[in-house]
Amino acid sequence: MEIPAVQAQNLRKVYGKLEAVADATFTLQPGEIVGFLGPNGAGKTTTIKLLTGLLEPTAGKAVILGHDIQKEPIQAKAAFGYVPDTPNLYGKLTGWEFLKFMSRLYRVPRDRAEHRARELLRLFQLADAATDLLEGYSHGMQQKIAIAGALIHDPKVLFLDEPTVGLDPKSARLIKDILGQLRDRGTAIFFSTHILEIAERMCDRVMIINQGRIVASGTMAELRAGESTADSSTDSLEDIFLALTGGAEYAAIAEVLE
Amino acid sequence: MIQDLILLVGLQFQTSWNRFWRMKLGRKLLNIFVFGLLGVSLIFVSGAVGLGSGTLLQRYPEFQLESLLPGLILTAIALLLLVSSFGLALGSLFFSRDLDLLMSAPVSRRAVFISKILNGFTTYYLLVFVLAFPALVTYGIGLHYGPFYYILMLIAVLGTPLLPAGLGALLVLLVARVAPVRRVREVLGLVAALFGTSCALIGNTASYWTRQLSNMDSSLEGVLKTIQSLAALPIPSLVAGRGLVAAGQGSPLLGLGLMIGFLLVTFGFFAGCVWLADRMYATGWMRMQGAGATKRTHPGAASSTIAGAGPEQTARPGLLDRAAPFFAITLKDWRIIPRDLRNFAQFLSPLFLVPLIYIQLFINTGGRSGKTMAQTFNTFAPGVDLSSILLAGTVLMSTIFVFSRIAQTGISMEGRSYWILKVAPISGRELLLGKFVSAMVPFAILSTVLLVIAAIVRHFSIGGFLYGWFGVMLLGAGMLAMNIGISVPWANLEWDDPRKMHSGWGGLISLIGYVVIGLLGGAFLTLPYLAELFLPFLAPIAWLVGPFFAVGFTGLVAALSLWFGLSRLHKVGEA
Repeated sequence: MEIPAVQAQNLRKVYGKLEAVADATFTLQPGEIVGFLGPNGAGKTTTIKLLTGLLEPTAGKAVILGHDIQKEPIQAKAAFGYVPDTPNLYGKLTGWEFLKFMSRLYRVPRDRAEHRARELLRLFQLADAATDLLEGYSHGMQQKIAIAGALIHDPKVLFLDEPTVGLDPKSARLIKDILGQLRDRGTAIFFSTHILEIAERMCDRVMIINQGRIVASGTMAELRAGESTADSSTDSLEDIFLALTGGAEYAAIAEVLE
Repeated sequence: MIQDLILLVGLQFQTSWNRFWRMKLGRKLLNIFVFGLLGVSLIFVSGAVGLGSGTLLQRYPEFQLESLLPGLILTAIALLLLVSSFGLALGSLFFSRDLDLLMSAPVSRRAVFISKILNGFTTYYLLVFVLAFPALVTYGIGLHYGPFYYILMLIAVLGTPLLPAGLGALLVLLVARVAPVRRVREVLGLVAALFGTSCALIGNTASYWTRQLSNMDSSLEGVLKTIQSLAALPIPSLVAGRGLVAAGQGSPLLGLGLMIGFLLVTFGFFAGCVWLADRMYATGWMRMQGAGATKRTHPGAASSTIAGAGPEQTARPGLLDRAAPFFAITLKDWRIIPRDLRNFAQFLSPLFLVPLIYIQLFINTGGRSGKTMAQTFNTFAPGVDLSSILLAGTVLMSTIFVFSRIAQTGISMEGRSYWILKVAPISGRELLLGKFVSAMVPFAILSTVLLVIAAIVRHFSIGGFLYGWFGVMLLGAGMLAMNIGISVPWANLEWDDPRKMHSGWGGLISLIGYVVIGLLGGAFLTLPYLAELFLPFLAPIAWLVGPFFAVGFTGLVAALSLWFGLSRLHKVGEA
């Protein structure tokens, strides 16, 4: 039996009285793309941070390719790449130096690292900016170099928090294509997004989180079946999303705009 | 435009007030206490200088300096404001976080510009009223001047910041036309740190320089003439000073005339500078928005080679290419630190300790004995060169203060990029080892160089030099390791200005740790010398026991601190 790429077992994170993530349990198989949706402040970033070991869970555990992120952090971390929503990078390193630094952190053999860094820079159309300091990069360029850094060691699992925010359509398309290719090669991808169209078109499965709880998980067909409205076959992800996360407040919008 | 200006100035006032008002009560009270104490102290010093000068000049009218001092005071404060205004204008005109919002809002761009210039005026007037105002008031009291002096003085004080503020803004805009403003800001940080270091050095060796100056072949008359010729220059603040004295000495018309001249020049110059700077502002700001970063060349990274690197380039990999993960962190730190001059400047400041202590120990002769401090020390123990031990201690102290910043801010230095290390497959040990090597290697190099120079200049024996080197390396390594470990729980990752990265309590505890390691470790290391002096028959044992205990004690403190840091590392970055 194949080891799951990611296993979240009863993950819970509490800040004082606020339960940011409550009892999150799910599995990601190799070669699967899962879109993680939820309103602002629902717990998407916290969940990703728990899975990547950036936060220590109050309860439960996250396992990456069989390695508990808290108990075997080195092995678990070696297996995945991560791109945060805001790519805070070392402003005083150049793009090239950043990729070389990342390759050493992830113990990529020298020849392979150099070749891969070049390829990634070319792929993300950053070759001309490779010798610029990162502080001079635009947000989109920083996002792309962060993704390149996350891919430098050819990870088996990829966590991305809002990967297409700040990217131009061409770059966003590029990211989507790359994610598709990675999936074909067996990489498990878990990403959060607010763009429902991307989730609907790209993901094998979609998970929806609201107020720290995972309220739905499954393929589009499963979600439609679970959240059937008058005509469930035509329900878009947006309809399902709003039905699950609450849309009553939108009635007030018209009044405000009037 | 006036309406916009009022709105923007009101906004700045509101945000400043909110920042203060919403502080925790303890912090608020501490701020009030610290700034209050500082303000009262400066007012007291300034007042004392003014009163002392006034009284002295009344007693010795032959100096003919009465008409010069107010002008010199105003000029000194104007120069101080000019220096501050450059940094303040640079910050508020180019790096305020609300600039994107304001420049894209339908408000007058000129109003934005002027509101940003006015932003600095609170600071300018605080400086003027704390530093110049008390001195001028007490100067008038010392010389028994009439009320007209005080009225004109108030006008002069209010007018003084205008010229430096306008000139500072204009200079910033001119510089922004020829150099990237981010780099200018960094260079400014470096210059400010070097200026502060120079002042500290000169201030701490004042007695030495005074003695040197007094030995120079120059008369008091010559010095006075030089000052008088300087004060006769047609600088607005000097003109205002002459006007003040004229008013004080009973020539109100002359005083008023000179003051009007001062005001006309000051206001005119300020308005001219603001007009010119305003015209350049939009261009400068837009240039910054589109400014790319400095190109760094790397043999393997030139744009043409990325697509298809030639064999020559691939055969010359950089150090990073071969580095283990911990050393990759070290090399990354060594690249980043010198590239941000504001951060780099913080390392240079403690270096002033080296010449300072050297002068105090070996050059400066004090008291009636006419001996240097080193000679005095050596009289206590004629058989031992205590001054050499002190010199080794000086090298240790000065270099440790330089590189303790790397140790103390090791984790803080990562800032918001810390997530990169936290998700990377590296252990806490590797991370702290990388940080330790970042600090230890440059410490070892610099302290060795300084010790070699000291050994040559002070004629150390080879044995003495090697033992001193061993001691400095041992204690330095212990101090740096202790600092790295202790600073972990207080790592501050939320900073924008690298000068504000600090580890709070970690720094304070480490400072105490330095003293403990320095005193106890140092005592163990000097044990053999003391034994040779007082109990020679125990000296062979002391040569074994002293270094052994020094290593054991320093190693224990370092190990415990690193264990402490490691046990808390997983909590760093969990906001």
